[in-house]
Amino acid sequence: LPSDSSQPIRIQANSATLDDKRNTAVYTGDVVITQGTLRLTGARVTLTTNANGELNTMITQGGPATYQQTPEANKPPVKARAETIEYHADRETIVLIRNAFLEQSGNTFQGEHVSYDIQRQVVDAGNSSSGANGGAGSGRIEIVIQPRSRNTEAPSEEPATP
Amino acid sequence: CGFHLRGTGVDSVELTQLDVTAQNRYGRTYQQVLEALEVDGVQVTPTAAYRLQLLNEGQERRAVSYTSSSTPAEYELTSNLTFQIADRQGRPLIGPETLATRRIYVNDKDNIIGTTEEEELLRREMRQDLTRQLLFRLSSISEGDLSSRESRLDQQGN
Amino acid sequence: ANQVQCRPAGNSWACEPLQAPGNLPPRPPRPAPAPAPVTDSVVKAAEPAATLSGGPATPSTDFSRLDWVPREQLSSEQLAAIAPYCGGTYVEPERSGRDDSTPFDQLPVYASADSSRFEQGNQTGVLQGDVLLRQGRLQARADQASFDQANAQAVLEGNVRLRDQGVLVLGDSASMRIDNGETRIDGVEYVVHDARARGTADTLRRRDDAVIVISDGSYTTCEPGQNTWSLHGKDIELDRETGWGEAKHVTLRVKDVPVFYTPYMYFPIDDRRQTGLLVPSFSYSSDNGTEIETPYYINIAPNYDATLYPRYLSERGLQMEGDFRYLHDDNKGTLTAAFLNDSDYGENRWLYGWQHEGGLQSRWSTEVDYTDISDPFYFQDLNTALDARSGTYVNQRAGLTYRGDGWRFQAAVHGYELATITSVTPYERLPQLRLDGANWLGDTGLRFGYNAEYAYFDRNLGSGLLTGKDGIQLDSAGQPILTPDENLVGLQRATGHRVVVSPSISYPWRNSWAFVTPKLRTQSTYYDLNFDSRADGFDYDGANNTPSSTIPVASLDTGLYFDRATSWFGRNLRQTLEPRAFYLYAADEDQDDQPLFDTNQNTFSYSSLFRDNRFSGNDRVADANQLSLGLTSRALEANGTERARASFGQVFYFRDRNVQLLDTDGVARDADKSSSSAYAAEAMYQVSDAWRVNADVIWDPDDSTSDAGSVFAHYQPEPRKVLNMGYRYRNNINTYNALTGAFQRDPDSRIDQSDLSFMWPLNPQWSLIGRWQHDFDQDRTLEAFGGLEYDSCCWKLRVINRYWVDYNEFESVATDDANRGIFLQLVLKGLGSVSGNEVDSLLDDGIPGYREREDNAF
Repeated sequence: LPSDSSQPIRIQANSATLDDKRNTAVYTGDVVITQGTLRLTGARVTLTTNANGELNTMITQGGPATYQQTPEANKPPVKARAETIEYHADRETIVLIRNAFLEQSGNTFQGEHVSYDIQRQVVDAGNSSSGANGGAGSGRIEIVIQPRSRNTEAPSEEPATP
Repeated sequence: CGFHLRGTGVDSVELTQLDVTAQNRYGRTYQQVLEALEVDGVQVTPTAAYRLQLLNEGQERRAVSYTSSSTPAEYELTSNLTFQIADRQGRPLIGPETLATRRIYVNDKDNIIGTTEEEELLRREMRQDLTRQLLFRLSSISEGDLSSRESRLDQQGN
Repeated sequence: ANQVQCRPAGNSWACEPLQAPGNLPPRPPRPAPAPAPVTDSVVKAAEPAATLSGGPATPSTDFSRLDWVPREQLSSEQLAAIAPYCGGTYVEPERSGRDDSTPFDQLPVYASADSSRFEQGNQTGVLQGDVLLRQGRLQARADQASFDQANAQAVLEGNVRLRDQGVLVLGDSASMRIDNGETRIDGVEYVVHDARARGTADTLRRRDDAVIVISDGSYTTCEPGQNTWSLHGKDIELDRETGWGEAKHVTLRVKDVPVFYTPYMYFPIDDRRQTGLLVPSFSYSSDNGTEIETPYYINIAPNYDATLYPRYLSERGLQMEGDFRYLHDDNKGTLTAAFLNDSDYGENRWLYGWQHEGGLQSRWSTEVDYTDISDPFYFQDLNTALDARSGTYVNQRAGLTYRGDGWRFQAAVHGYELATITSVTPYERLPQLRLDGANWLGDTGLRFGYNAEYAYFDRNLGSGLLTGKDGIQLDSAGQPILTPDENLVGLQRATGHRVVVSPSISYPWRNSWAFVTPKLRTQSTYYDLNFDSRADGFDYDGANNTPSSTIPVASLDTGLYFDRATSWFGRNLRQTLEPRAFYLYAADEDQDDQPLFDTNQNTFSYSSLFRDNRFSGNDRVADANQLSLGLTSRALEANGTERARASFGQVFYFRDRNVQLLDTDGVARDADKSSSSAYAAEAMYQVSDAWRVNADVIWDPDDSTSDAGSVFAHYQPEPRKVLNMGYRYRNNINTYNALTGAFQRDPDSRIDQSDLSFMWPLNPQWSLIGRWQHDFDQDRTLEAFGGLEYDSCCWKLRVINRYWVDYNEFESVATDDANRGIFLQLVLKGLGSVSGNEVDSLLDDGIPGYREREDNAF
């Protein structure tokens, strides 16, 4: 929800190593980060904050790392997973890298590099337009667009990953 | 010269049970085949494992010679019967095969009814001829032969 | 866990395991520049690179973008399905989901691209870079695609390639409704694989019921790169479900030259062997001058169709013929009609008819065979394309039959309409009631048979002078001729009721090597006649108008089966020897006071030896005290089919045959005193699968008048090669000559005719057609035609030059004149060929084996 970014961040992990000098904290082992409806999980999360202690990025890695958040009230949550999920707080965007899979109100996106602008709810997949440091060269992206009658009222089901 | 009275009847059918179907269910050919099978000791029942299907009966009349005033002098009648033997699921085990017979008769253009009555008589004889040919053909088919063809079809999985 | 596909079903969920593999369907490999190497089973043509957009100029022969696979890359199985002269065929590549029939509004769209951008807010998205979309049976490819999910729209741009079941469409841009599958494509080239057809179109629309609608487009079955013929229509609709195409405002172009326009037409677009349309046939004959016939076929519904035959005859005018057919599993039939305002004949001429068969599945069956013609010269002059050959009459009959177990009852009315003026007016049976049946008497082995008939025979006889087409008909000496009915006298002029009752009892005994069938039958016949009051020397008053007769007939039919194993040319066969003896005794009762309503003398043949009456019909029961001996030998293959059969027999008469037909003076002819019949023999030999020979002969050493015989050979090594050779002779055509009122017994009126016909391919495309029927007795050719057929991948042309002796009723009067005609038949393959078309029925009638050839033609 838009109010998520103002919610407190809670982190659970098996272990954590903090490095105040470089404003980074690394959590490892079943890491679960929640902030409002945002929920990130992964095997290892590197959290960086800017000079005055605000959250900058959260790099989650896992096999796979997962992401879930509800964009607006009573809308189906957006779910995603990838080997690496970068959460950029300033641009409020997440970037999924390698074996990326994202589901947004029934439509699913799959490929090597998918970025999702949480604010404007725009999903950019594939290498050309995302501007981020492109994933593995010319990977193709796969999209499944659910029929309108299905994705409005029906809960979206989880197609098994390849 | 080697001829001897035959032990097994030429047209005695070995199949014990057979179901018989035809497009024209009460047609003369269908009833004649039924009767011939019963005379031969074949029990005709819808529950039989194999089904003799009379698929098609065709008749044709063609002028084969002409009088001096170019009207047809002789007609050739041909009649054919197409049949097949299928299993319970309708898969053909034998055929479809077509039997044929023909007759010639003189056309008398001034005695139309007499000529059509002769044609009717010939069609009855051709029907008996086709039934006899069918019985000849069935007499060489055994239930073992049919079931081996059926199992071969099952192996092919269709 | 395998994936479950859940769909909204009412208010609950219907889930079933996904047939498709759990993961996303594999994407076809990226388009390789050249089609993938041929595997032996089915060609796995990769998605050929679209070369529309100004790529390197494709060599003219590479039409792989249209799924066209040249011959050398086809599998043997595919090669067998196309003609030797076709350069290749369209092969639809395999794709998963092709036959998915789920409604579109429940189908997800699988898309893949190089990159995409989706905005959830307004539910729009754009995909770029070799975009491939797949939704159920539809698959589309384009350079770029944009989605508008709110109103279920997808727009594709650049090198669009759309695939539906059996259809490929190439275009510049396309818009797709993803909720019902409706698609519109502009600037189109399309292919319908089953129909082997292709074409272009300004716009092509795939309706939600999968019907393809082409506006301002073309359609042809010619190979890519050939423009021998093509149809150009404002609006062409192709419905693969029914297998029919329909076009409006169509011009036919041959080599891009418009040659023919039709406002509307129907044609088949798959190989369900349906009749089609637009097979123009042109001909010129001395009688009817130039003739052009262009049939229209209208497929009204799956079991109704109609064909119109507009026919222009330069000598006579425009004739409209048509038939309407209906076909249900329990009944079928045809309604026929024709009309011509004949300028040459000076009056309207028409024909209408109804043929019907009903109740095939039920005990009550109905049958109607009724045709009426405007004048007796109708068939002679117009030689209609409908199947009424130069027969001399048409039936006007209707019957109702109840088919019980072992018995039948039939009620019918049966009249005739003569198509000649030199025949005696036939009796009409108004009505005829018949009951026949047989059943076993318990298990005594006795079989009781019965048939009974009541009929009222009526006719109104013509009188006065014979009037032909142009007034009174004169004979060769210039004298007017009497109508044939005038020559009938006495009993021949009687009409009336007749009742026949014929019970029989028989004891058919048989075992594996013999059969014995004694049979006793009596036939009682009763008449109630009314005589024609004309005084011509016949004592009408003294004649008995209620003649009757009851005649017992006894017969004993016996036969034996011998057989032995033998082998001919290395093929082991079972040869049978079946002697048969048939003794017949029938009382000699005078039946000369009985008219001849439906009786005629049967043609003498081997099978007539074993009949218990030498007359057909019920007016005469032949007196007999005779023994027929016959011998039949068959060669049977292991599976019971007859490879050869020969029969030989003769009748020995122990008493003269007094019962004869009436002679011209209304009195019976004199008895037949010979002590034995002619020898009768017949033979059939299936030499090989290609050769079959039939022969029969009737030979009487001491009285050659009744000699007859024929031999006929049919050679068809493969469907395309047909050769028939036949010769027939019959010494005594003992028919009644209606014009002279006497039986024709002059020795030189005999049948001595040969018949040769063939259709032989010179090479896969050219075939020679020929027929020659010659009458050696009159030393004239009855019919001869020669012609050529050129067969190519999308059209076939036949040119036939025909000579045929005109049907001339007054042969004894005027010399017969011959007809010459040139017949041209153009078949546009894929548009169907209309059977019943003049050339088609000419060949079907003249060349046995032609129909089998056509059924296997490409």
